[in-house]
Parts: sequence; C-alpha cells; structure tokens
Amino acid sequence: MKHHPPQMFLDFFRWFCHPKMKKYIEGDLMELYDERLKKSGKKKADLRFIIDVLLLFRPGIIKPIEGYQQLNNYGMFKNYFKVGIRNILKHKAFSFINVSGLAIGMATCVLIMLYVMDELSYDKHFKDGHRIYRIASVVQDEKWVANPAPMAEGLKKDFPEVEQTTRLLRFPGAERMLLKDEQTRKQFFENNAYYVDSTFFELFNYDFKYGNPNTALREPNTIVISEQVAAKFFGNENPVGHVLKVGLSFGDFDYTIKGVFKDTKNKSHIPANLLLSMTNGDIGGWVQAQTDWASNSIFHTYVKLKEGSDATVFENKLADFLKRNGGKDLEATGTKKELFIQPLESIYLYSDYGYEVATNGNIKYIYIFTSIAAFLLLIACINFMNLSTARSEKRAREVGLRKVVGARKRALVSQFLSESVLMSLLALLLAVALIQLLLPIFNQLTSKELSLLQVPNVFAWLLALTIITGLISGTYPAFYLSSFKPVTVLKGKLLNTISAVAVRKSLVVFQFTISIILILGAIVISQQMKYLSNQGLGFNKNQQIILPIQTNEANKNSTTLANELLANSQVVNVTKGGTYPGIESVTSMLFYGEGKTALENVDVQTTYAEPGYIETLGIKLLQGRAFSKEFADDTNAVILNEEAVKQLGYTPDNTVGKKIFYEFQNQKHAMNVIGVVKDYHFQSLHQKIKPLMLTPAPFFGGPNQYLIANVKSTSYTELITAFEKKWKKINPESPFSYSFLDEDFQKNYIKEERTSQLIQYFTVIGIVIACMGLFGLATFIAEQRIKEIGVRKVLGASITQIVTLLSKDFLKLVIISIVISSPVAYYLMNKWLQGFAYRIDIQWWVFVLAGMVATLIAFCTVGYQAIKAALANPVKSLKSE
Amino acid sequence: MPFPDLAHLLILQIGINYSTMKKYQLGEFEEVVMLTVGILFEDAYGVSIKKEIETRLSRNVSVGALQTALKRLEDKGYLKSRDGEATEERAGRPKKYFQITALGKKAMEHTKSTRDELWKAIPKMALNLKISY
Repeated sequence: MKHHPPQMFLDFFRWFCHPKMKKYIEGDLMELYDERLKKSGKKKADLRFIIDVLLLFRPGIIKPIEGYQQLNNYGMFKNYFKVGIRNILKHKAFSFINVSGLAIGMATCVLIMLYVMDELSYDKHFKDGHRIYRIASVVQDEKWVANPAPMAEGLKKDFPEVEQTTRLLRFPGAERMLLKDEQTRKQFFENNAYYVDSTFFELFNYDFKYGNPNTALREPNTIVISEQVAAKFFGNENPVGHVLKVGLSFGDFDYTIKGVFKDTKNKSHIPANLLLSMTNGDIGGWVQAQTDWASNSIFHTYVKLKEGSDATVFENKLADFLKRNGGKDLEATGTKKELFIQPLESIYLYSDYGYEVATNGNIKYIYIFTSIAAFLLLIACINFMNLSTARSEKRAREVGLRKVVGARKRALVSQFLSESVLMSLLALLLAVALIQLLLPIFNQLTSKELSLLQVPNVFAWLLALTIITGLISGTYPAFYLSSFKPVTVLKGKLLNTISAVAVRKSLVVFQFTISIILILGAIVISQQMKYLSNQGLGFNKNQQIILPIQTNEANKNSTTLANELLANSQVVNVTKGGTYPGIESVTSMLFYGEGKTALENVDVQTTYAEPGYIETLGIKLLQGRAFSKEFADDTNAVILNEEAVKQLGYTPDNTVGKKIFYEFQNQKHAMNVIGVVKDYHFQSLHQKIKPLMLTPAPFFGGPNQYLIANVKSTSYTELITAFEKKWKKINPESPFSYSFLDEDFQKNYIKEERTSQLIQYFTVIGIVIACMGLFGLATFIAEQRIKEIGVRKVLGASITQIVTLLSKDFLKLVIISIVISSPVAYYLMNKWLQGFAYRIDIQWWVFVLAGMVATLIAFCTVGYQAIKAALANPVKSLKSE
Repeated sequence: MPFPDLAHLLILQIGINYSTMKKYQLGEFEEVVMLTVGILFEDAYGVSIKKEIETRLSRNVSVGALQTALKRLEDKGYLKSRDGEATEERAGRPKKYFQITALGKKAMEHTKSTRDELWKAIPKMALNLKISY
C-alpha cells in the first residue's frame, strides 16, 4: 500500500514551485519520502517532508509573480490556424452552412443595432441637453405635452433656478406652409414649420450656416430656414435679408429670412425645416391674446435649469406654481391639472402622449428589436455549437493524439476556440457583404439613412462582435471536444454520451422555440393590422380625395372649385371641412348640458363641416338633420356624435332641439343641437371615440381647410389630372396638391406596419438559420446511421418506415418547442395588443397554425436527408471502408 | 574606427580583470556541489548529490538549498542538465541529471588555483605554530 506525504504541503509546494522545476523537485521529494518511510516510518518521513517543503519556499524556486509564460505560443497558433483552415476546406458543405449561418446572424444583428443606435441618438447633441426639460401635464389620466401660452414666462419669473425658457408653437394644419419667392417666382410647400420664441436657440443650439442664432428671431416677421430649403430657392447664396412670402389660407405674409441652419445628421424630436417668430403677423396677435391658463395648451414649453439645480425639487414646486398662476382659470373650467417634467433626452423614446411635436419613436420597439437581434445571433451561434459537437467524431482522434503527445486541456480549448474565431472572421467578411447589400432595403423599411460608416470606431465594434460570436459559439464545442479521454478515442470507441446528446437536443428545442414565437408574433401582428385597416370606421374611407386649401386664393375660390369638380361624372359629392378623419384635430371646447353647471363640462372636439360633409363621408345620421344650404343655419347650430350626447347627459332620442352651453370670457353662450350622428372613428383606432361636434362655420379660426371629394373611379390617374387642370384654371397662383383619405388614415399606423414588416422578415431569417442548423444536424445523423439503415433495409424495412424512424426524433423536439413557445408568445402578444383601444382577440387556431408551419418546415428539412438516406443502396453502405 | 585612448584601455583592462574575477566566483557551497557533481559523473541528480555530500562531508543538506544552488549554477552556465527516467519511487516524476560544463570546469580550476596561491603565500611558520602555555 502506497503511503502519501501530507497532501496539504504537497499542494502548497505544487502551488508555489516554479513550473520548470516542479516535477524534478517533486520527484526528489517523493524519492526521499519513500526512503525515509522505509527507514524511519511514516511520522518521521512526513515531518521531514514538511521541513523540506518549507525550506524550499525561497526565491529561486518560487514561481515568478507575473505568471509563467509558455514560450511557444506563436508556433502553436500557427499550427492551429493551419489545422483550422484544413478542416474548413475538408468539409466544405458543413463549413459553408456554419459560416453562412453565423454571417446571417451577424448581419441582422448589425443592421438592427444600426437602427437602435440611430433611435437612441435623438436629442443627444444639444449643448447642456441634460439641463433641458419639457413641461407636460396630466388631466384626468390623459397626458398632454403642450401648455398654455403664459406658462413659460411664469416659470422664468417664479423660479430662480430656471436659466431660460422657450416655447414652440405647432399650429395644427399650419405645419405645412407654402413658401414663395417673388423674385424667382419659385414656390414650394414645406413641412415641419414651427413658431418659436426668440429664446429658442438659447436652449437648442442649432448650427447656423448664415445668420446669428442669438438675434435671428428677435424681431417680428422673421423666419429661419434649413439649409435644404435655402438650397431649393437660393442655391448656395446667403439669403439673409431676403423676403419670402408665406401662404396660409387666411392670407399671405412677407417674412424676412434671418438665418439658415445647417442640415446635420443629428436627429431631434423637433424635426424643424422652418422656424418662424411667434410675433409674426399671422398669429402674433392671437398669441399675445392668450392669457388664459386653462385653454389653448398648444405651446410646447421647455426650460433650461441652472447648473447644479435639482430637477426633482423643481418638479415638486410646480403644483404650487400652477395653483398660484393658473388656479383661477382652471377652477372656472373645473379642470384638475397636474404638471410633470420630461428630460429632453428621453422625450423621443419615452414620450407618446397627447400633442407631440412630431411622431416619436418608442422605447418598446427598441427593446423588441434588440431582443430579436440578440436571439437571431444566439440561434446562429447555437447552430454552430450543434454542428461542431455533432461532428466531433471526426476530430476525436486528433484530440486523442494531441493529448498523448502532451497537450493540456487549456491548449486544446484554445485551439478549438481559435478555430471558431477563425470561422467567425470568415463569417464577418460575408456579413459585411450582406449588410451592404441589404442596407438600401432596410433603409427603405425604416425610413432612415443608416450606414456602417456613421458609427464611430465601426471596425472595432465589428471585430468585437466577431470575437464575441466566435467565443460564444465556440466555447461549448471547445470544452466538449477537449474533454475526450485519449484512451477511449484512440481505441475507436466514441461514446456519444447521453449528456452531449441531451444538450444538442435542448439547443434545437431552444432554436425552434424562438422561431415559433417569431412566427406567432408575425401572424398576430399582421392580423391586427388587417383588422385595423378593415375595421368599420363608421364612415367611407375609400374613394375620398382630399384637396388642401392652403392659400387665400384657394379659400376664396373654394365654392367655385367645388362646383367645377362636381361637374365631373366620376365625382359623387364634394364638401369642405376644417379637418377630416385620420388627421390630427385638436380644436376642442368645454361644453355642458342643460341643467348642469360649468363645472360638469365635457371636452368636445369641434369640427367645421360645411353642408354635405356628412353625406360625402358617409357618416350615419341617427336623429335630426344634417347641415344643408336650404335651411339658413345660424352659426349656433351643431350636430353631436353619440359619445358627446352620452357624456353631456342626454340620450340620442331626446337631444335634438336641446341646447348646450360653453363659457367664453365669462359669458355663457348657447348652441342648438339639430342632429345626432353615429359614432365614427375620426381618430386612429389607437384611441377610443371621443365626443365630437360638427359646426357649420369654423368655431376656431383655423389656418387650413380641406375640400373632400367622394368619387367613384377605377382609374385615379386620369381623375387626378382632371382635378389638377380645374385647379390650375381657378387657382393659378396656388400649387396643386392632393391626398387620399384612406392613405392618410393609414399613416396613423406607420409604426405598427413597419414593425409588422420587420418582424416578418426577421421571422423568415430566424427560421432560415434554424433550418440550416437542423439540416446540418440531420445530415450528420443520417451519415452516422447509414450502416444501421442498410441493415434495416436488408431485413425488409420500407422507405416510409425508415423515413419515419429518422424524422421521429426531430419532430418530437419541434413539438416540445411548440408547447414551450405558445404561452410565452401569448403573453408577449397580449402585452403588445394593450396599446390598441380596438384590438383582436388572440384565437386558438393561431397557435395550431404556427405549430403546423414549424412542423412542416422541420419535416421538409429533415425529410430530405431522411429520404436520401432511406434510398441509399444498402450494398454500398454496408461495405466496410 | 577611432583608437581607444590610453585611459579607455586602462578601464577596459580593469574591467576585464574585474569581470573575470566576478565571472568565476563560486560560493563555498556551490563549489562543494560542483565537486560532488564531478564525483558522481553521470549519476548526479538531486537526491544523489544530497546523499553524497551528506556522506562525505557529514553535514546536512536541505533539498531547498541544494536545488537553489543547482539552479544558480545552471543559470551561470557551469552545469548543464538532461532529463532522466521516472521511477515508481519518484511517483512517476523524472530525474534531472547534472553535468559540469567547460565553463564550469574553468570556474572550478580558477577557484582551485586561487586557493592554492593563497596556501602558497602563507609562511611556513604561521601554520606550524603551536601555541602552548
């Protein structure tokens, strides 16, 4: 029986001893121990051993602190590289599957990350951006991000920690302006026009090409334009001092250009093309008159806090501030309002409330897409893992031999890891090619202008991604392969250990679970989109052509034009209105019913609708009558929708003839209800139907009006040309523009449509990757069992039986995937659907469909290999090599 | 190439002398170890050297001291090593055999000659003196 020296000291020695000398000295120690054991017995031998070890703890024998370097690393890596390349070339098919799987995963990951990075970059480029906040309010659980006009000044006066405030006024319908240059006779419609205070550039430091931001909008009747707009009119010249004519429907105004700001790649939640001074002739007077704190909250108010101020403390003081200044006005209307602040840098992704400046992004989608990117990459890596471990037999002997010759586990692991990183690098080359190929399509889908080069240090990131991919996908196979016992593998027996097979199977299950979740997501999202577009909206969405009236001239001639259009045989009806369903309408007023007080008021949207509005749009009239030219409607007649009737405390039957009241400048005014219409969706299906009122004359002076033409046509091009001709005849000075109501309505769902499309594409990609992996795996399994199949065929098995045998295992895995993915997908889909006031119910057959699709795909993938194997000639497969 | 001047030549000479002296310096224990390696010829490895010294000089040698000395001598180039066989007693660990190199031989000769010169320089009287009171 062999005695052992004290293990603790032996371990201690092994730990501190210099690796180069370790085995020799240990040998000496053991030899001496053996002698002493025989001579003096265990106790003495142990004691001497301990003394020896302790006396060996001295410089010269202790290993260097920095760690001991094997000197031959470079040579080994050259060998790994050579062997790696040879392996890749030896099995071209598998290598191709592996590399392309990784490449697809990496390419999609990079594309999604480009998108995410772009979305995250909004508003990050403003100087001192972290000190800028927007004031927003909550009224009865509805959040609204604009404020009454006097709030900005009030904030500056009351709070010393506010360094500066500014306002941005977005007048609904006035964001699109007609710009005319008298000298060159050029005119263009320009979008994204906003009115701002002169302090605007103190908070938002735009880069000016011409002009001075500090003085640009100090005077009335001034305008600042973007570089792009300037180029359209003036090329590269300096247009400062030039006069532009701005055409609105109630007049044309001359403004002096005081500055041109550069178009940069920087994105902001304020996508301004034109910035006009709030003191300008068109609305300046109206702005000055806004002193009420409870009405016309359409001024976006931004504050810049002094350095070192505490934002939370500031926010807490706002409640008192509001009571102090606006309390009286708010009480008069019975409104309970609470204020809160929004940090500038979080507005684009997190603010999705009432009256945003422009369509914002959504942090939810960032999460969704980032997860998809991560999962697709993971699926690709799992492919790699599966294929590498499945084919491990081919490398087993090499591993055994290397171990015999003295390779340590660490060396083998680094060999296989470097092979997988090598494959990753090849995949990177392919991925970059794929990315460049797909970028144009992707940019179209996301309406962005993404490119690889816009990322700082793009090569470093790509390299990092490659190495991470290589490491993730290579770690498991590396450890698996390097754990082979040389004796076992060199004897030729390779145990496909149960745990290895189990891991492989669970990886396949994981891949398919993710794919099935994506399929389910794609199905549900497209169902919801179809539901939205087919939803009975309560009016006729199709065959409606909209002609915006944006100039004074067009306004004056609108009736003439309407009559001319009616002369066309394809035109059924023409009407005019202040808005139409599908676009934003924020004109609203507080009304209360008979027998109620001003405090029990209802916020009712007001829409100016000329006679014919209801008929043209196909809105259903329930009670009373519509506006008509025959009855001399005084301006106090109104038509309500069902929701308004309900909230005012009436019923549809008894409303006609009743009055509703509103307060203006402390005077009570009455309106007569002459009709009730059925609720129709004048806003997108994201929102529940709100109370609505139609008036025969504009309740508020709005800048824009629209001609709505209901047509019956199969060929729009001819019709539009005819319209254009008539327009040009009647309104020679105003440019012609038109749109289709159904398209405009659909614009409300751009975000969802885009998401739906992207998810559909990614689903396909995910499935393709998973199938590639499955294909490779099936090929391998079929190869492995070729002899077994040969024997079975000889014994009389039919092709069907063999195919079933081979496919059975895989199909079992797919079924497990279906079971796991269904509840997860159900939960996720439900959460997404919460964002819609009108939504579908997720039906059970969706899951069955997804499951069948997955099974079918898996079966096709595996089936091909199974059938090929089943058809093989048993004579050939049974001949031993 | 510029001729080194006299001062430089002098410094060079002193340097060579000095480095020569430093080069061949052997500590007492190191000298003993080298001699033992010489004695054991092709059989000199850790345990055998230790036992030989302990037997011949009746002094205890610790494994640590011996290994340090062997390593130092090998680093200086006085000894060279080769791998030996592994045995059961050594729990499968190999032996490391040491041999004296040409440089090592020079070092030993230098040490011996300096010792001999010192011996020669002692007057006969000093050694034969017997103090008796």
